[in-house]
Amino acid sequence: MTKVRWLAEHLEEVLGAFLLGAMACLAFANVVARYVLHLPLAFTEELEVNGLVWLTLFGTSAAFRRGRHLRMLFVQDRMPEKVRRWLNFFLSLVAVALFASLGYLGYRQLLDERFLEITSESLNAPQWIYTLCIPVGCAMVSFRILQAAINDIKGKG
Amino acid sequence: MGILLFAGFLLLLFLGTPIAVAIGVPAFLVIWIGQLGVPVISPNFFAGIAKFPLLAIPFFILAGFILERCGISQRIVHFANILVGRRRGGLAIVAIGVCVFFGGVSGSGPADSAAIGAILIPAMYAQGYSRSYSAALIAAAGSTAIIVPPSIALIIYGAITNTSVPALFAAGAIPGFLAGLSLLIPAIWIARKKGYGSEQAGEEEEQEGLWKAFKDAFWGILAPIIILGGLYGGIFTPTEAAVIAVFYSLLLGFVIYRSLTFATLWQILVDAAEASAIVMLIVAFAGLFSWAGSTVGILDKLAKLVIGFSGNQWVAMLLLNVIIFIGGMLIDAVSILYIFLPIFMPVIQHFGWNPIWFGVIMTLNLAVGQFTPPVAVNLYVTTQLADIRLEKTFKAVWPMVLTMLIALIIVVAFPSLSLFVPHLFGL
Repeated sequence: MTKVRWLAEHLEEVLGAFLLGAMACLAFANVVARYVLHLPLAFTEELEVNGLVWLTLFGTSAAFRRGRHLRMLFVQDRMPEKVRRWLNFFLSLVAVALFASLGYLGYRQLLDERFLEITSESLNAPQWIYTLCIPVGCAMVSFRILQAAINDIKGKG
Repeated sequence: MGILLFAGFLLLLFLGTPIAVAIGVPAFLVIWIGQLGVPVISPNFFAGIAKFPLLAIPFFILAGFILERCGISQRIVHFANILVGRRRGGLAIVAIGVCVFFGGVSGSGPADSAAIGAILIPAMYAQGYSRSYSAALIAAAGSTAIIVPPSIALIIYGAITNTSVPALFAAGAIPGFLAGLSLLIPAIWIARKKGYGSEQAGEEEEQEGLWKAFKDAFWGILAPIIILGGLYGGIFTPTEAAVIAVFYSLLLGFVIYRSLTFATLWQILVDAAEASAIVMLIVAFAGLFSWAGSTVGILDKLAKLVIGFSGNQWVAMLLLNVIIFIGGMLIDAVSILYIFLPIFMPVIQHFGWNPIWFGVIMTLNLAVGQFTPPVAVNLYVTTQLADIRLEKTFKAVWPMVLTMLIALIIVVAFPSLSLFVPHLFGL
């Protein structure tokens, strides 16, 4: 049970770390293939480049959970504690709105791509498989922002 | 519409919104209210990230994290310390040298400052350097990471302006070195005046220790030579060089130094994935921001304003540099590049400036902004390590800002300082 709970809290970290490791191995295999075996593995580029979008959304989610995103705190540091807490709660809602609308638009794009049966350039894979990361990733990110915001308000309130 | 874009961004930024969100929200609003076509948002976001040259960024970040945690920074610090450390201000010289060197492995200023600061700030404090001086110095020296190749800022500059990244990397070498050199003057001057650093510590170990310390640090010293050698020689693309750096550092950590375990490697992967995402999210939203800005025409208007401001190219150069400097003080280099380059590119073309030279100027200027108060991302990192308030460092940091700005003026005045190395390698 504790393991399941741990995974629920760290899911995006596990996925992101795995993905980054896999991308590095794939890219290295490509280098070896190109310079040692003289066999360019062109298709690996497509996987790596699309993996980067997945990686960005997983990592973004983890960074929101841990509060690691770059921000300018110069003004906030000079505000009273109470104002600052509610301001941060409001800003979290703004961020959720941003990611929720991006996720919805990504879902619409996915539907279009399925309808038009668009395939990727070098692997001829259905493009929507790659696009899937936007709705899925944004749902994850929105959830983590809300979770962090609620913890913040409850924890210190 | 253009005003909504910039005002919305500044408002959210100052309220303390994560920078990526502060860029994304006004971009969304302008595209939505201005009816530029919301369906463009999601494909634009996706395409902004899915670019082959940008793949070098997570790999360089990963390589930097592995090298940092396999103990290579301690070894290089130890070697540099024996070489030049035992004199007045000796550790300050070590700090600058190691930061410039480590900038040749990692590509980000705050990462460089954090890696070196964690080792050197306690050591400097132990030798009688003040906390404020140590924090200021490491922040300033760490900022050179974005100009010393490889550099995330230069990769992104290359991606936006369609300039060759290896050529940019080669062009950054001499100016990066110059920037480090410019910090030596105030660093040593202040250290002498305040009597920081002792001369007598451990004289006897010096003789026998040097060779051993060199052997110990040798594999780490080799890292930037492999990365940059392959790049300048035109053998590898930046992405390939980055992934080679990853596997070279794994070789060091697991085979040569045996200082890494699979548990630490896992943590490194988690942290590197997160750190890459923080950069890439800004890249994606900033791309959308500049798309919205150029579609509503505000960027063109601003570019014409700059060109129309004066027909003299040096006045325009000064104006652009003032804008970059102020921007660099407030936000990170990646956001500045995306927001301002679309405005600057017509200006660069209008005056016929070499884009590689301008890329070096812009990056060097952004480096100065990273440790200029009051916001200063690098100072934020080092003051947390030194456990002091940011304001305490202001007095110590100003001379360093000043001398690095002089280095910037020299780089502007002598374009060949930037263009000589790329010509040498035929890039």
